[in-house]
Amino acid sequence: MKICERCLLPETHETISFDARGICSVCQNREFRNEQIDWDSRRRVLNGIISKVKNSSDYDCIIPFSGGKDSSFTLYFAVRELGLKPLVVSFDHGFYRPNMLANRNRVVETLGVDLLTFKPNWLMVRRLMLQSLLEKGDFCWHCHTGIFSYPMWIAIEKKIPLLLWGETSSEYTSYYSYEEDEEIDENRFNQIVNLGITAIDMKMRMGDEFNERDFKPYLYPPKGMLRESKIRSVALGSYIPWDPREQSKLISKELGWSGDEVEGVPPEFNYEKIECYMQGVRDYIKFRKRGYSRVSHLMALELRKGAVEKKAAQDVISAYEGKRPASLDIFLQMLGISETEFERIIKEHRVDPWDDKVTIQIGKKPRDYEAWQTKPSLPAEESGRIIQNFRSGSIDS
Amino acid sequence: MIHIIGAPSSNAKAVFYAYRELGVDCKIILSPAELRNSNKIVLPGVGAFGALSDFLHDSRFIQPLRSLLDEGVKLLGICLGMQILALESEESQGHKGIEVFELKCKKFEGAKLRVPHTGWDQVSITSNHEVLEGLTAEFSAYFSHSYYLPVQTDLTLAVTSYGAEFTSVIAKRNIFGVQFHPERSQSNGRKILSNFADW
Amino acid sequence: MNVLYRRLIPKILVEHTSGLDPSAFRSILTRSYKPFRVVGEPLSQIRIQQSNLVDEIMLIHRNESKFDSSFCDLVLKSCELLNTPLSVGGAIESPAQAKMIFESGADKLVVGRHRGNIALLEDVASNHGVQSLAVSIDYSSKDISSGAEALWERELSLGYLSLAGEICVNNISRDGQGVGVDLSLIGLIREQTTVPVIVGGGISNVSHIAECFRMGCDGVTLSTFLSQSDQNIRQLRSHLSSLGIHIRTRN
Repeated sequence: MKICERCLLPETHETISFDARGICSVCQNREFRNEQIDWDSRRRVLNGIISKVKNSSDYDCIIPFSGGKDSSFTLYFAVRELGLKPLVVSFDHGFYRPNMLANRNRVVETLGVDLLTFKPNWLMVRRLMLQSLLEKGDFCWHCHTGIFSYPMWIAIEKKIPLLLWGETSSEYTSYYSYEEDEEIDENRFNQIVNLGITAIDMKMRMGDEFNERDFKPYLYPPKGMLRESKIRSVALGSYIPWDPREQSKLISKELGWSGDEVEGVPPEFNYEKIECYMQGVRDYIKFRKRGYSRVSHLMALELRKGAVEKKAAQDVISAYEGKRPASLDIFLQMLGISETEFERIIKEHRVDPWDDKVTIQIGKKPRDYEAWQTKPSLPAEESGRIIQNFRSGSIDS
Repeated sequence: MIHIIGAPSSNAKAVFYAYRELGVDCKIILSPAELRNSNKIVLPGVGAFGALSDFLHDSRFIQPLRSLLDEGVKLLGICLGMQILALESEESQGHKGIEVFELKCKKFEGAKLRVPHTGWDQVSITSNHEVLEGLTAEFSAYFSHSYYLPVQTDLTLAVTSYGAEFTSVIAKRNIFGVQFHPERSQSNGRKILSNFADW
Repeated sequence: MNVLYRRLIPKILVEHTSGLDPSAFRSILTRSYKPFRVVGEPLSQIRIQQSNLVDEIMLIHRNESKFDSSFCDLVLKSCELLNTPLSVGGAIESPAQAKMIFESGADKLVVGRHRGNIALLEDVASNHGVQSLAVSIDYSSKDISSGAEALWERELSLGYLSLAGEICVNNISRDGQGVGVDLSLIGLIREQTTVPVIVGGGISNVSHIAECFRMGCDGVTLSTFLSQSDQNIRQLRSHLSSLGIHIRTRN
């Protein structure tokens, strides 16, 4: 596989391309970011946006919150730097880890903000996980779409004029460049978030097993509605330079935010993706589909900063990446599928030219593994039927 | 209010929807009487030079249009709607254009050249203009035509290379023309339509 | 450059839903042209594809027997939200039907089964221009069993070649199977005409697509691949560009 000369990301990384030097588009974008962005003028733009919304409604803005480093930092910045009164909205995807919940309490209690949590119907969530795994080799559809859609509905309902998100996608991919205005809107939703499937599409793909009301948390509000409500949705990372490592140090110090042991990730990156106990399975599936995963991403960031040498980065990747996570057992049980069936499904989603010819090692159980809830599982016969139906073409003639 | 001239077979509707999506007030007009009080006009065109020329002459659009243009009313010509601003075209001998540009439209020639020029191609900006604000120096746009306007140094603002270099954007005072279809050229096209509305 | 950018064209195949609303359509996938899976709501899918920087969208009505005028409403609604070229096909048999489709906002008509109807094609070409007419050759392995030359001779004898602004080539047997594209006709078409060629049927990875472009195809249609893989047009663009294909990577 072709890889970037600087950051080692492979050609199977989504939207990556390479220039004549063999440097990838994400690195090139980063060059622009470091050299050409006038952060002062960007900050002034942010100040302008803020001044329009302050005191205009019950809350100045919504901060969508996962308990991870990015949303925790965004909340901190909104309250302490921008002096806003936010409504914190937490979409509970079902897999919060104990430390994340403790973080959330510490963060919101230290800052003094109102928090709204929404936990969608689990019976529907597990069904959506299986469907999206079959359709796209990615079981997180409910989470991607819920996180980005649900807070928009709250904004409409409560007439809150602004949603403030965390980092921009240009930190990781080339869908948007730093020069472009990355509005967190439906256009972005359709490219980066929903795997090419809206709530309406998913409802139809599942043969109307669930209805329109059930799908509302995953439905992005229509453009007309958002325009009428005059709601703006932007990323803080468009206006200030993003630095996850420094930011997590800051929130640890100021708010008592704590990192955690993360499946398959080197311990020095304990600030990374701590909020979901299905993260290990997600990373593993990505590795099997594309031949790289979270550790490669983390090393890429370090390589771009010049904080590590290529050989050392390669060693870290080899040592940590691609191990079968302990959480896979929980995942398989939850969805009522065997590992053989799982293998069969993910093979169908392999991305060229990665050949998935690897010997898989076993990863160790993180310290809070036993606390990871086993929820009501999809019975094996039911998931078997769903898979059989899907494979044979579930269309009614 | 943008007035879009709805010649038969033109895709005036597509331009209308594009402006509506941008939140700009617009209306498709079918007769010259509706042109009174126009302060911005769009002339989309699809099909043959002769057919559009006939329509504009027969429906008596030519005189009112020329007056408004003389008064300084701004006009955007799209594809054939840009070509019709010329003197004539090799396509339909004997038919006259609106004669704003002292140019003649020519046919793409070339043994291996595929005609019509249909698809996405690169536009290279040679001179800046308010209506091109925010576009990169080279941008892609959607074309669909067999005839073209040759390059005219003082009028051509952007070129595309296909067989020969031809005019993809042209302007003269209050008149702006694009050979490609901004209503089909995604964000680049939307930018041009939006800039024209603000111009 | 005398070469246009290569095109990535999602094919959105629609049919009526079996529900109560007679004007409701759904978008589906097929395998060897037989209905296989539901993809979703056509306008929703069109919006998604437009966000993903497609070059063109092909909207095809699967109706087996006759022209469906409620389809024109769908075309109209699609045009209201599109600023991307739209090609439309679906059992169009007469000039009047073709006119309805163009008036609903289509940029191009795709004619398949009736491509031998020279009167229809002549009417479309003269009223709307040759560039607004695409002719679709859909063939099974049986049709090509006597060889690509024989198949192409039969097509030539139908007499439409001078009227077609574009030729679409689809191997029915490979449709939805993900086994790669049948390029056996492409060489012939490339040798004997200058008409743009769009190919489809069987794409399941980026190297299939790259191969089509290297053989001289101007565009590829994608259906199953886009709906059933964790890849999208944006990703394909970057990947193809890295492989040296002349393709847009941004608008």
